[in-house]
Amino acid sequence: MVCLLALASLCLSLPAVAAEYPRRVAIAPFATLTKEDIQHTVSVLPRLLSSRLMALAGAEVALLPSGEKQPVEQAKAAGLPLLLQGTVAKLGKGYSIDVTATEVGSGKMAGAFFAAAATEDEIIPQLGILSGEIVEKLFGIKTAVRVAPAAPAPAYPAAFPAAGTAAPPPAASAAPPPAAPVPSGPWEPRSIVKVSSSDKIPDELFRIAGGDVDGDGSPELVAIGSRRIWVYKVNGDKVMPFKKTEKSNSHQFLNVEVADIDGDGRSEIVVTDLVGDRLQSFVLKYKGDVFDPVALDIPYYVVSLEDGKGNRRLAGQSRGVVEPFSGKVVYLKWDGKTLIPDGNVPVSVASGVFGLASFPGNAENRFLYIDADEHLRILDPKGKTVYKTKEYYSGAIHLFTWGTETRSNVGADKHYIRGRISPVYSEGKSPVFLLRQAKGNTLLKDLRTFDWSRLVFLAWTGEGFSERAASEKIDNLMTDFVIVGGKPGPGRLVAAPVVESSLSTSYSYASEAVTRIHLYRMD
Amino acid sequence: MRKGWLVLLAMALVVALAVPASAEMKLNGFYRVKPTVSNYVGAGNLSFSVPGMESAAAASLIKTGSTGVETDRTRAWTEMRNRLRFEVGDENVKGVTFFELDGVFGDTGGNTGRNQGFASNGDSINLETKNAYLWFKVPNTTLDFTIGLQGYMDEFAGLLFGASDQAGVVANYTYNPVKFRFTWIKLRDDVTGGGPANNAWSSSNAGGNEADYYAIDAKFNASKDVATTLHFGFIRDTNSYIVQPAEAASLESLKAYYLGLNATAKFAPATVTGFFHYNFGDFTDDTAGGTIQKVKIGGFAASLRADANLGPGKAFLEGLYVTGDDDQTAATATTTNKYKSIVTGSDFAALTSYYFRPDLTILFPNIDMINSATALALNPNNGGRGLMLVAAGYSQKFSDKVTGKFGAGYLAADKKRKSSATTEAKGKAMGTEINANVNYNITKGLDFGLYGAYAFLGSFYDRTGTASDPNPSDLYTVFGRLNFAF
Repeated sequence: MVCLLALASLCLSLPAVAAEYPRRVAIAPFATLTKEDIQHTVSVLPRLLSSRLMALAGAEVALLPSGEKQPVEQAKAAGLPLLLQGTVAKLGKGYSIDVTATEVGSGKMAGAFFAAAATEDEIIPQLGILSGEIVEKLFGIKTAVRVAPAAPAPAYPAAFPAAGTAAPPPAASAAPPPAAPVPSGPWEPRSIVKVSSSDKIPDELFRIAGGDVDGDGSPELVAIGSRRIWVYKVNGDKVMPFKKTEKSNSHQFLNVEVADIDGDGRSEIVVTDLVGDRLQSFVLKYKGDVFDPVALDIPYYVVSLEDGKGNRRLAGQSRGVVEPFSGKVVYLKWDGKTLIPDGNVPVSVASGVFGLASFPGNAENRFLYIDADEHLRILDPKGKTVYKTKEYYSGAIHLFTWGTETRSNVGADKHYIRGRISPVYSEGKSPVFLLRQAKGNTLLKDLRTFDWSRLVFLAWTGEGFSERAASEKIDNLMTDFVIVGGKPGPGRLVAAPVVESSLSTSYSYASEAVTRIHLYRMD
Repeated sequence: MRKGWLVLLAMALVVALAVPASAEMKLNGFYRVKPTVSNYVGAGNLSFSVPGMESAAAASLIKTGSTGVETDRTRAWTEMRNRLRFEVGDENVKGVTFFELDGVFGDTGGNTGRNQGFASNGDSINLETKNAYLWFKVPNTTLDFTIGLQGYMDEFAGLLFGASDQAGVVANYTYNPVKFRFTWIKLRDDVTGGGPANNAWSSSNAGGNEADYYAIDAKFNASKDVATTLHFGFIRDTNSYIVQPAEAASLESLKAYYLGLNATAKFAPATVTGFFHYNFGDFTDDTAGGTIQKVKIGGFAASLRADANLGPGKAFLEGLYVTGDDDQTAATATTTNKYKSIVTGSDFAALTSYYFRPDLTILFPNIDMINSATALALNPNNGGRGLMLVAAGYSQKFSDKVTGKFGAGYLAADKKRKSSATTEAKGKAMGTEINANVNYNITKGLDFGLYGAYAFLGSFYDRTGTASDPNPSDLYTVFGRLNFAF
């Protein structure tokens, strides 16, 4: 029913003839027509609508403050020809989002748009749909149409099921991941804002990946602590526990990736695991209601890279006989039993594959790399540095050691699992990347204390990196991130584990660290 | 002379070109406190390698009068160590300065000198400089240099140089698939003749009476699971200060050559590493006036070790053999005498050799030794007697915060080695050790551990066994270890 409503809203909002207005718009604060307290959601809608209009149409947008002056007067004073005003009203069990466009000069209606949302969580995705319609009608820019996700939210367990028992599976009509309009033109990130966070997770999660591991059509989040795997579901902007599995004390996880390695349409979980002095990475597949190991003892540090042809592939590097990293970085493929090498990745890295990413559009010749000191570099295939930032990125806390303390050192060598770099490529524009940044102590680096952390979009200008957008700095340490659903784009969610200390507001040597998975929305 | 200036100039230019626009500075180190309860404590940096049948010495377990170590009573003391390592530079050039402070609670205060300053009012001048060196890469090559006082580790688990602090130049060069390491170390530059006045330029004989170590190591991977290193080393000593073996005590010069091979292979269940190290050369008489003109060196060392994951933990088994010489009085001929053990770094300065891989506490050097650095055999040539060591250990993580380990070892001299026509050790067996430890991670960087070790002394230390001449008691030690690493 709700889907029909959504479809109807799309059809009704299609204009017979699209009038093209100047792409200069004022947006007034949205009004709430319900007794329910959804103000925190409604208050961000003008900002989200603004960033979508900017992204989809390159529109110049002014957000009007709420005040004594009427929005029309404010828009007129700002010299903007169009004014958008919106409301969110409760209708039955759902919500109606209505937006009107007014010609500021004449006072005439330029267009009316509405959409229905089954839950509060659906409001923001529906706004993404509406944005496409607004852009199409007012500015004549066609965007790819997507059916709005509008099914009721499935019921998830409030906590992890006991070992051996299955969590109730999501309803067959479970909502697909929050879909965002995919722009046909170039998209460049303008903002990334936090929308929600999970409950506390009693572990220090340091790595996260995403993919549809249970085959329900929506991506799960898979986060790891040093020997535990936590699988979460994303429903709207809610992060809900789904499954947990763990290994014994002798295991030390170093990385997690999620990829459909056997091509069956369902993703597997690939964990880089150090057992004693041996790399014994493994693959888990969701069968029935448990994660079964389908491959063990894979002797590679495994990461996910783009191959230069637009495909994300697993890649790995071996442990040496007497050194922690050895040999070439190779692509890995599934041979039916395990992951085996499948050609070389054309890059040489001395301090391991963590922090390595292909350069968008030039994956054969350039690579991005967060080095052992956590500077961001651009490397050529020989591993030679083409560019290096002065700033530090990553903020890694998880590590493995190599060697022993001797009389001429201060302990075994520490190898930190450095952060990811996610290309957010916009054709025809400067390549943009999403990565994590943490400000730590640059003199006492091994203390691993941090003042703040954040997500940041960097663009490569040809001569250096320039910051395009960033999330708000938080006191606690964000340890990793993943773009939910894989593909970046306006409205997409980014999940990031944030380690909280019970002892301090900033991340420090907490004896009992807990983590929350924060969701951010990029626009 | 002109050539020397050109070399210096070239080096200076390379360094200047390599200096980065934006160098970084890093500081790391640790604070370690070690309270100990034990029935032995050596004078520090000394082996208990004197057999029971010999006369008492400061480093022996033979207690005669005030000489020797009492093992019939328990003592308690607390040591502390602080290391601070400063590093400035970037990936092309770095300078490293590495300091250490050691002391024992209650030792002395307001004093000048190393390994003290932890008594009332503190205020001692006691900062040790372990390292001060420059490292740099030569641009667009695979060549790098480390120049200055640096930690130096040989390819034989510390048999000759166990991460000891040495001044010199080490160059690494890769010519794929071989990685070369070229080493020059200035062991001594005593110019005063026979005395240990380290590096005191007070003699008119400047440039003489010195000792240098040169080495070339060539590392390559025979396959992806086998790494090997070929080694050639050479010590040239022209009457510096070295603890010669007794048979060469009157000889001033030394030329010691070393040929070695090590290999590490990864098999499915275990990683196996081993080495063979042959030492030859001679001690010679510079003055040519003595009865004994030459003592040839002919000894070797070999080791085999396996590391494997075993159940929920890790285990190792290791054996080490160093040849010994059975009679120090045998050198009587003019030029055909032979010393059948090896010359090690510890013959130049105590603890230069530091074979700590078996992780034993009483039999062999341990990385946790601070001021009271003592073991049955610190120098692997064991005073010329050589040795046989077998050690094993098992470690396991019991929880996210608790790890434990237990180990055992057996040590024997290879030869009893007569010190006179009638005096030699009663037996070869020196001791059997069992040890265990448990460590608790209080919070990141901060750990507390409890360690214990007990050594059953062997017949090597036996005396007459009478009431007036008792055998030494078995050795034990229990210590805590509070460590904050940053």
